[in-house]
Formats: sequence, C-alpha cells, structure tokens
Amino acid sequence: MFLQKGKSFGFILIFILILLGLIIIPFFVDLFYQTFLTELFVWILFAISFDLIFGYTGLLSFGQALFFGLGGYTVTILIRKFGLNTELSLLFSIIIPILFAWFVGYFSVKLTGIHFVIITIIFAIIGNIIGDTWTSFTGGADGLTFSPPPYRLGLFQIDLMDIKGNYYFVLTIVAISFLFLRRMIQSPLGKVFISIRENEERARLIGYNVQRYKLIAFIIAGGLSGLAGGLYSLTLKYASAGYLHWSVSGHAVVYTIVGGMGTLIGPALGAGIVMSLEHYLINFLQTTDLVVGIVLVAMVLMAPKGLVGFIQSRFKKGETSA
Amino acid sequence: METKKSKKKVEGVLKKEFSRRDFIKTTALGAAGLSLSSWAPVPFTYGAQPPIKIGMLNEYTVFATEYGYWLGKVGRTAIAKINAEGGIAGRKLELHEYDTKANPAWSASMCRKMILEDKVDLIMGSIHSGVHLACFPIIKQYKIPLFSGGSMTYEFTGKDSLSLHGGYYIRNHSHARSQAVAAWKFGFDNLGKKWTFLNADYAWGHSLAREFGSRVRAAGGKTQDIFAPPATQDFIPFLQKVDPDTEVLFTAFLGSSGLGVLRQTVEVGLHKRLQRFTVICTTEGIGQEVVGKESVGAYYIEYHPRHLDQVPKELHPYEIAYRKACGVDKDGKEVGNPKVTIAGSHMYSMWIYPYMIKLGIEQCGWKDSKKNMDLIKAICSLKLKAGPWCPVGDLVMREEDHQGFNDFYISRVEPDLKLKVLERIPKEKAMYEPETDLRTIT
Repeated sequence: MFLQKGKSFGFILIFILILLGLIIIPFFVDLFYQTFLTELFVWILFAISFDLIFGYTGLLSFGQALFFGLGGYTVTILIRKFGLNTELSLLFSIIIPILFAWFVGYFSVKLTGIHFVIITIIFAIIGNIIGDTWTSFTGGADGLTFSPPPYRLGLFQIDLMDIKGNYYFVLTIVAISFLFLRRMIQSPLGKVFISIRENEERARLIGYNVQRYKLIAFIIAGGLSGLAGGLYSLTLKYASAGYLHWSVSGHAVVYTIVGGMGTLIGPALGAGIVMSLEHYLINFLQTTDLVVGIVLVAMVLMAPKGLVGFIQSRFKKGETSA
Repeated sequence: METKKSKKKVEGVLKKEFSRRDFIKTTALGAAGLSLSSWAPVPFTYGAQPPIKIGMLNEYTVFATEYGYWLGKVGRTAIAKINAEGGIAGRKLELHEYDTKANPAWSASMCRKMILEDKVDLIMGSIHSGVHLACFPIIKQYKIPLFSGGSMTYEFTGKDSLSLHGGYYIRNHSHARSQAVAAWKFGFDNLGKKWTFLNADYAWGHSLAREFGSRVRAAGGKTQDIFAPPATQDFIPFLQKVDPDTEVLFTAFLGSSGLGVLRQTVEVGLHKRLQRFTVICTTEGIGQEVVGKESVGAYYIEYHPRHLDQVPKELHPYEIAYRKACGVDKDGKEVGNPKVTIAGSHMYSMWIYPYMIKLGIEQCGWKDSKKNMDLIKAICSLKLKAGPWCPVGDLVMREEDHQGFNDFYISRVEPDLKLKVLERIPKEKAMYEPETDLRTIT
C-alpha cells in the first residue's frame, strides 16, 4: 500500500516536472521546434490510444487510422462547411469516431488474432476509399484546408493560428488524455483489459463478458484516436483522405513497439525517439523510413518489449543480482 | 650558448639557410601585408552576401517518383547554372531539398521546417495537388511564395485563390482547365463527337472529365463518365460499360494503371472502333516502349514534345542546350541510362522558375521576405521570350491569377512508338477568363 502510494507520488512528481518543462520550452526554442513538439504531442495521443487496445487489451488493430481520419475530417468539415466553433468541433471529433468504433468494434471484437487484424484493415480501407472518391465532401486525396476560429475559454481566447497558442492547446488536451488513460488503466476496468490480454479464456471463466470489455476498449481507443486526428487537423489546418489510410495506424504500431507496449509512457517515448530521429535524418538523407525500419527490426530482435521493457528488465536484473 | 646544432636551420626549397629570426621576420611582414590588404577595395564575389534560400519539395519516394526524379534533377541543374552565372543580384542560391513521400501531411511538416528552421525565402516543386493544398495554410501565414512543380488542379489559380493561399502560389505550367481549353476542339473536330471518360476516381480524374466533358457537351457532343479506382489493374469490367456508339475514349490514370488501360482497350478490340485520347501525364517518365505496341494510334496532349525532332525548329538551339544541361538525349531518355524516360511535359517548370525568380528580383529589388508580394507581382507580370531559360517557347504569366501559359501539342503514337506531333496549339488558345484578380493584394 505504502509502496503503491510512493509510486503514485513519484509519477505525479515526474509528470508535473515534465509538464513544467514542456510549458517553459516555447520560451527557449524557435517556432519550428514548437510546431514539431505540437505534432509530437498529437502522435503521442494517437500512440497511447492505440496502446490501450494493443498493449493493454492485446488487440492489434490497424483500423485506428479510420478513427484518426474521421476525427480529422470532423473538425475540418464542421469548421469549414458548417462554421462550428473549435470546441464543439473537437467534441464531435471524439463522438463521431466513438460511434464508428462502436459499429466497427461490434463486428471486429468477435474475431481474434490475424482475423481481427485483417477486419480492422478492411474497415480502414473502406474508409480510405470513401474518403478518396467522395471528393465533393472530403476533397479526396487533395484534401481540404480551413482556418480554425479562436478557442474561447471564459475570458481567455486562444488563437490556434498562432503556433504558441496551438502548442499549449494541444499540450493541455494530450496531458489530460494521458492522465485519463492512466487513471482508467489503474481502475478495475483497466485490470479487466489486462486480464483479457494475459489470458482471455481465464477472464471469461471468471465471469467477464470478454467481448463487451474488448468493445469498450476499442470504443475508448477510437474516441481518443479521433481526438488525435482532430488535433492534427487543427495543427495543420488541413485534412485529407490520406489520414484514413491504414498505414497511418502503422505510426502508432511503430511508436508502441519501439517504446514498449502496455506502458503508456513507452509509446510516448517511442513517438519522441522515432520522430526526432526522422527529423534529424531528413537533413542528410531522403529515405528516413528505411532507417526507421531498421530501428524497428533492431528493437524487435533485441528488445521485444520495447525501450521501457528493456530498461525495466535491466533494473529487475540489477535488483535480483544485488 | 649558441651552437651550430641549436641554430635550427631550415633548408627550404630555395636551398638557402633560413634562421628562426628570418622566419619571424617573414611571418611578421606577411601578417602586416595581409592586414593592409584588407583596407584595399574588396573584389566582388557573390559569396559575400547571404544566399537566397530556395526550398524544394518533390516526390522522390512512394508515388509519382518518375516525376520527382526529373523535377528534382532539373531544379538542381537550373540552380547550379544560375550560381555558375553569378547568382541573383550578387547572391548565391542555396537549395534545401526534401521528399514529400507523396504525403500531404508530411509535406506540410517539411514546408514548415523549410520556412521556420531552414529559413527559406521561396519554395518550389511537387506535382501533388494535395501537397500544395496542405502547404497553403503555411505559405499564407508566413507569406512565402510557392512555385508549383506540376499540380494540375485548376482551382488553385481559380476563384478561391485568395482564400486558399493568399496569392502566394505561382504556376507557370498547364492544368486540367487549360489543357481542356487548348485540346478539346482538336478531339471534337478530328476524333469524334461522342466521348466516354474512363478516369481515375479521384480529384484529377474528375477534374479532367468535368473540364473536357462540359466543352464537348456545350458543342453538341455527347459524353459518358466511368470512374475506376486509381490503382485499377483489370479494366475489362469498366471497358464493358463503354457506350457502343462512343467515338472517343478519354482515359486518365497514372503509373501502371495508365499503361494497363491502354493495353486492355486493345485486348478487347475497342481500339478498332474508337479513338483513344489522353493527357501526357498518364505516361510521363515512362517510355512508350514500356506501354507497348498497344499504345500505337493513341492521341496524347503534350505540354512540350518528348522527342527533340518534334520540338519546333526555332526552339532547337535552346532545347538542345537545355537537354544537354539536364542530361537528356534526343529521344527523351536520360543520357547514359536509356531506360529512364523524361517527364518532359512537366520538368521544364523547374528549369524556368529560377530564371523567373532572377528576373523578378532584379526588377523589384527584392532583398528579403518583406517584399515577397512585390516579387510575386514582378514574376507574375513576366512575358518570357523563347530562349536558353525558356526552351518551351514564349511563356506568358498572367497577373490576375498567377497562372502561366505556353504552347500545347497534340501527338500520336506512331508504329515505331514515337510520339509524333500532329498539331501545335498556341498558348492563346489555352487561355480562359481569369476567375480572380490578385493584382490588388499588397
């Protein structure tokens, strides 16, 4: 009990320190790094939402791009075509993907293993084809641009066209989402997700409706992926059918595998490492994807539990040998 | 105590004694001379001033790489040539180049990186409309001119120009509308009045069907639209839908699908009863020998001839020099690598832009981004004459919509698989009424 409290206190302390660091960073780095970090936050949100179903529930979904793209389009279309404000558009970027995740999940969670992977890819492909061909509504492969109205928060107003304003806006939402996911994972609901990942049959025998819990995880992850898509659109002021392509889910898969699945901090770390590596390498070579691929293969071979898993196992080894 | 040994003589190339004192004396004199020389008038070198930074985005991987390869190569060559000729207003051009990965979102990040981190003054390149669209909010916010490499979406210089990019977008090449305005009449008069469009089911395919179709219908012709997924390989189900009385089959697909549709029209025998018409975009960077004999008899709209002997005679001196600089032979192949075919109807844009920038800067006295709009206005009022920097013939930029116009060509694939020019369409016939007026922007 005491140990648990100590761990929680340690987490809160580290979280606050990191958050304070991220709050003051814009005063020391130029605009480009602010936009880079803003994009990084968005991908962290996408990666941790994916980690909920993959890392904690054991479902490898390549369909998250569908929800990411839906979130992106929801914000873009609601602002551009219906003149909605930013806060409502963002709210819908969670609600609409949740509804779709409910529908997709209803069929998908009945399947396991490779069949689940394939059906989620199929749903993403359907979404991408619709996005690509319904050009009058989605702009197709070319996409749609928009100018987000300022975000009003009581007396304050955040101009999302301003890089710093957008940075703090995205940081706040991602930080809240991170805390929300962490709290949920520590709750009894999260324990059920983990029990399904560890031994689905046993969870069923204990009396849990496994499919229902899988569907809940799928819906929550879908909603958060949609929110990530919405924030991405707000950051780029743009959305296209490319967001719906199943390969976008690959970003989350890579970040999670590199950082370490089932840890929340792992996918965040993975996103930071891979995106920074890409950003650094792009100055020297065009084929950055190739290097990312090599890193991924190396991680799978040498540290299958990702960076966080690798560090944890080192610590454990150290403790046992001591 | 000074001995012979400790005197430390240095036997130089002059074979005479060189003491430590001599060394110090000579060094001191040299240093004094160098210091004094700094007071003398400094000879002019363009490296003395900060460079003009040019950002370049192209499709080097993933998709449309046959375009990216050539646009990049030609852009780099043109910039090197400008530098070799003394730069622009005494300033060297410095290139910052990135791959779009054919991914608009990634390209937007690269666009921001170029503007905010590399501090580029101007950006050029890419044939991907989505890439340009994703960059629009950024170039509009930071007021950085973007020169299109080969985007075919006519709306970018249409009525919504101001809201899309704030007037910071410049295009010196053709697009779906100017292609239709230039070439529909040839097809209508010479190939047939009943058209079927079998196009890729996305923005570009729809745009071509709309632009050509509306003109054919307005002239009393009949049209049918069939759209297939962009990556279609089996066209038989779609070719079966072609109306029996169709006289012209207009197709628009990229890459292997573009080749597949031509081949399969022959397989089902459609080529015997109708004429095949398409834009050169469908086979740019791909040799006709790759398309195969099935393409014989197909009509193409070219924006600049692929083969040197098809280029108008008066342009030959410029064309030969341009090809030599870019490593292209007379058949439109890469020198030393005959398997690689040029994207000849697109890549010229990247040859001409650096020169347009040079003229624009010299005209308006541009020094930095504060005068970007003045630079754009100067560039968009250029009337280029055919020359070493404009091998495609006269090119007119239109101030109202920042759109450029040059001549078009109608070509047919001959039995020797050569694209033979049948008709040259002057740029004036490709012009349409501008839908916007960007001249009032300050």
